[in-house]
Amino acid sequence: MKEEPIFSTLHPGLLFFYSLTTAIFAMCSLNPLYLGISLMAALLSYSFYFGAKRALRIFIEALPVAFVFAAFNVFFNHRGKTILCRLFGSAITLESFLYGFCSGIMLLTVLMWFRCMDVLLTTQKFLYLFGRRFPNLALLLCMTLRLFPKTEERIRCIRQARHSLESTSDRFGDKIKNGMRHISCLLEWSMEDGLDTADSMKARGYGTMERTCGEEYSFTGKDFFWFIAFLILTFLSAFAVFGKNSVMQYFPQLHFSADIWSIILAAFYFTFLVLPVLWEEISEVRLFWAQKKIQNRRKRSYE
Amino acid sequence: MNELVQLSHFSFYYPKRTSPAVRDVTLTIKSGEFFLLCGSSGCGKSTLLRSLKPQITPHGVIEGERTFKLSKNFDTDQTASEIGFVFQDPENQIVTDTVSHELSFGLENLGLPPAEIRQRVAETALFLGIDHLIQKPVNEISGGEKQLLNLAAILAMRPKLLLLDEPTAQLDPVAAKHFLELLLRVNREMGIAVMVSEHCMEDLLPICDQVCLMERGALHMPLPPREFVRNIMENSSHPFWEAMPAASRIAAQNGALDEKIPLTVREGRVFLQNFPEGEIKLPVCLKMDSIFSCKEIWFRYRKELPFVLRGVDFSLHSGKIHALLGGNGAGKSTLFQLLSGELFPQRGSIKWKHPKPRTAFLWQEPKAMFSRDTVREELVSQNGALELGLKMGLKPLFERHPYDLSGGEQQRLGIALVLGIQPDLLLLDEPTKGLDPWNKKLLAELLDRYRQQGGTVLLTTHDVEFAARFCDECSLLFGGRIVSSAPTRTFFSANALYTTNAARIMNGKIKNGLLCEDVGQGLKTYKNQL
Repeated sequence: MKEEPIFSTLHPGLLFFYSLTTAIFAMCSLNPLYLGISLMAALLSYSFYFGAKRALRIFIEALPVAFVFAAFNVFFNHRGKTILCRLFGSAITLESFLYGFCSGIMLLTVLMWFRCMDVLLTTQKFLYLFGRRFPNLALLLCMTLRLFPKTEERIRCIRQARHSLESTSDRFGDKIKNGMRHISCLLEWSMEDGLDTADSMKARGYGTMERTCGEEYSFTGKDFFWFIAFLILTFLSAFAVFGKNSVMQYFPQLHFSADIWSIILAAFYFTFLVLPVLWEEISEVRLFWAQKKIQNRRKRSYE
Repeated sequence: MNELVQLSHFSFYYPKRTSPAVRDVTLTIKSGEFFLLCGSSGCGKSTLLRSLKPQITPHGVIEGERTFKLSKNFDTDQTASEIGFVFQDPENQIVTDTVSHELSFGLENLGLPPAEIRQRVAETALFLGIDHLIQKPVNEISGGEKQLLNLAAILAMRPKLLLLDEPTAQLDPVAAKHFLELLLRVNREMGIAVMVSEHCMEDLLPICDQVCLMERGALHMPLPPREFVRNIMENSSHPFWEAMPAASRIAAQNGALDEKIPLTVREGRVFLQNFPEGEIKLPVCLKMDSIFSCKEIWFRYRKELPFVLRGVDFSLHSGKIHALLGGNGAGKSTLFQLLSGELFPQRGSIKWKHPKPRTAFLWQEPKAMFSRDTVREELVSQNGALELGLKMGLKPLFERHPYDLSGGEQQRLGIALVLGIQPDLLLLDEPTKGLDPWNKKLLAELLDRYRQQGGTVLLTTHDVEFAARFCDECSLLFGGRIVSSAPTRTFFSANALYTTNAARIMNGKIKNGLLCEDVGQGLKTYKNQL
């Protein structure tokens, strides 16, 4: 897993801006042209951050979800002209199937984006951005994040500890009863430990005066350059996603149109989405050439 | 030396209690002093320590006086930085999710500017040698590292007095020693006054300046360590006799209770210099039937990961208390999970005695088992556990909430619960963790009674002294294999390092010596031979 891509060296404000805009665009891309682009970019980014194997796996695992979405939509949405068949007296239409499927894919892309943005915008950066304005809220978020692995560990402990106390019968009632016991254990334990944490916070002066934030990021000239680049690309992408150059109409009948402008805008949109990957690769290539140059120079000096 | 905190005739009452938790304590802590506070569980150590830090003093009635003379503008409600507090559980006192953020948490609370926060975090991390962890999330570091992180987070606030409530009770011995070494450095190199409560006094006695004993809320006069040891040693039925350093016990048993009573292994060896050599006979190994035997067990959690167990051959003799020793991550818990049937070996098999014995497990955290409001309800829920609870003397605790019990009491309750299913084999994971010597002895008695009724016990422990004193057989799990397995004395007779302090002192003098009493025993056989 790539923990710190070069993109993450930007100012947290920029990272937040970037994450937010890409997520919004991904949510609004129901047009197959842009949906395809955002899916491709998401897959590319995901394999860039977490490896191609995991990207492929999440895609294959999530594909059925898109079909489930499609199925749901088919049963509850009977608009559309192309009737495939009739089930229980209601029409199953091609349009509603495709609409559901595209929504499913869209959801999948958004989820993948969020996972990628998680790498870029770590909690600490998030806290830096909002911690000063809402210090208590920020701390709460940070403590909640710590709670997840802790609770997981506790559940494992409880399961082990109660293993020899509980009947191992497969009866549904017994299972429910055991499960309830586990939950009650977990709640009590967590609350008890929470008291300790509260003491530890008090002991370290929490709540006595206004908090500051230990991390500091300065907004440099380079950041400003990137800010301008973001603005331009965001503008163009917004034109692509929300503009009327390419239109996809699902109901009442499928209709798709795209002109040359929409293709050009789509290229910009794609560039915007894969910017972190692009930057990383360009810097790699530059490094490669720089090293090559040095080697050549050395070789020449030997000769 | 100037005084930091002064208590005079200080008493503390918890709400609705008529007897005080801390009774008439008079104490002065001067800057740079290293205090050791000892006493059995529930004697009021924690309450006293918490009373010395205004922010976390429990609710209740305070009598007498407590004065803080730390700095000019010290405000009991506001100033958190001058007195630091490290709690027992390394896990619960961590507030945030990354190491660097945790270090700056206290400083952020103080409202320091970011540049100063970064600088203080950096120097503290370097001083304690945890700089390589700085970017890690908290849930990826070990328990010992967590406790060091807690110490570092406090030190970054530059306290003048450091209070620690059994800071090493939850750590394994290697991590505990490392922690105490660093604590000593903090005291010696930074001049911070330290007051630490601890069960395991052997490591701390030689390095501290003053020792206070607390009994039922009352504090005895602080004494220098040697004098303190001598005072306790004079009364051979003192509950803390067992907790004294091995060197001191050996000296006391051989009639040397003077001012120069030895405290460390080195001093103990000097003491034994002029003693004649002796020998203890090793027990003869008998053939016994086993409750189970493992053959060539190989196990790994996932196929990408290396094997945790690499060919374990192990059999457990019935009717014995068997200690499974080994470092962290040696695979002890994994072996237990294989025995409980939660996991299956990739290679090899476990052959159980016929009919298959009933097995009960008690995992490290007895807390995780409890789900009811009182001890009585907890016991009633399990067949036969109520009688056992009565026999184990849990009756006075019946109306208490299981979470309000001390570690030792929780463990006894846990044992009563699992023994309720009348097992033939009892598996205990780290039962000695966090127990004081008194509770360890109670645990040993309990296990001994269970064995006499025909039970077999297998327990994992880091506590070599416990294994040597109370267990019949020991095995060492290392590198995924059982390196050695033998009756306790035979097992330890082959070791020079991984053994009790008493054995280290006797090494080369009394052959096969293991416990403090062995000095006298060895000499007797020596005289008989003459």
